[in-house]
Amino acid sequence: MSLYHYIVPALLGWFCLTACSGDSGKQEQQQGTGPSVPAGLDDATEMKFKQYWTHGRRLYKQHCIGCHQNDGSGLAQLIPPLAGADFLENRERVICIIKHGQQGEVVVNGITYDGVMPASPQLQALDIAEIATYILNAWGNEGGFVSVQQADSILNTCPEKQ
Amino acid sequence: MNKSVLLMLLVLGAFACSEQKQPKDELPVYGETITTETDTTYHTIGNFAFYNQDSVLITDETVAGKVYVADFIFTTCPSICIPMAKEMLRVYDKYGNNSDFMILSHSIDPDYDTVPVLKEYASRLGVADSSNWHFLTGGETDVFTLGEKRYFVTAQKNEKAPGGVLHSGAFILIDGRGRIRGVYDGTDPAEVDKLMLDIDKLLN
Repeated sequence: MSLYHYIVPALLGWFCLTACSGDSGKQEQQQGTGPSVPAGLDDATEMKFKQYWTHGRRLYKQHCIGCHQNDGSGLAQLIPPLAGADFLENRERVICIIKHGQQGEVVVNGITYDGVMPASPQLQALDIAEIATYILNAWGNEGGFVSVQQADSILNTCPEKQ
Repeated sequence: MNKSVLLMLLVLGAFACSEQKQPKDELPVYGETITTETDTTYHTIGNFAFYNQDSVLITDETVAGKVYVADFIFTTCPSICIPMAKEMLRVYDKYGNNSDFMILSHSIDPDYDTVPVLKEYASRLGVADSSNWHFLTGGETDVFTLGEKRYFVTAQKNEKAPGGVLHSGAFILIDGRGRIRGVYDGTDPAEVDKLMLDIDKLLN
């Protein structure tokens, strides 16, 4: 018996293992652009902002990405975009909508959307502050930092709460 | 070294790779296949009748001889329908002008998804009038039975599921004889790439 007799099946086995595993690994979705760090934050707040943004991105992928997409582009005229959306200027509505959902017509960048966004009652003020910090400062958006205190006080004023 | 061990390794190796060696144009036929001495009978989708977004009756005769992709959706779906729609749009962009091809998107909430609602949904998606992408509702066929028994996908009313309906995100590939030739996860871009390769095989 020569060494050849061992090498051939070993190589064959290795080849088959690698050849057959090609399709199984899903590529990690593209991460998108990094945060636009707001100007004028002190060091401690800037650190907090970056933590919120990173956690917010994780929550976005769990709760929002299916409809609003990885790049925040939405879908056709069914789902409004978040990237470059003028609607985000209304921070109070953004925070209330994340918690309570949205029904009926809503105008974003001049286009009227009329879908249903489900509520996410399980999300707490910190989750919502993180998601809002992410979407307000991803994909080139420059909407500023949303603290948990601010999210909490806005959530107490949502019309849906009454 | 025992020669039989070597032989076994080689045979195992060959089996491990057998999936790769299948002829590329041969897709499986799903469902019960009955083979007699003279004939082979395959599972087919069979009769159905629905209205599309333009109130045109779409039946099994409409799709006879055409390759089509079926899925099950509803317009107020809060979960997987948007990723599905996004992926189906890629299929539509590639085959939307092919007269040998169709897409049938069945509403599993026919009470809400009336013809005008589906018309609005299609136009918001950017699906052109009188295209080969049909959004189906109403008609005389029970969509839940059709989904479960003939397309083999989960489609049920369920108060506890988001949106009140439990359903799978499958895209099902049907050939010109009404046979199921592939099932793909309609929310996964890699699976939909595979679907489009398989559509090419059936169209050629």
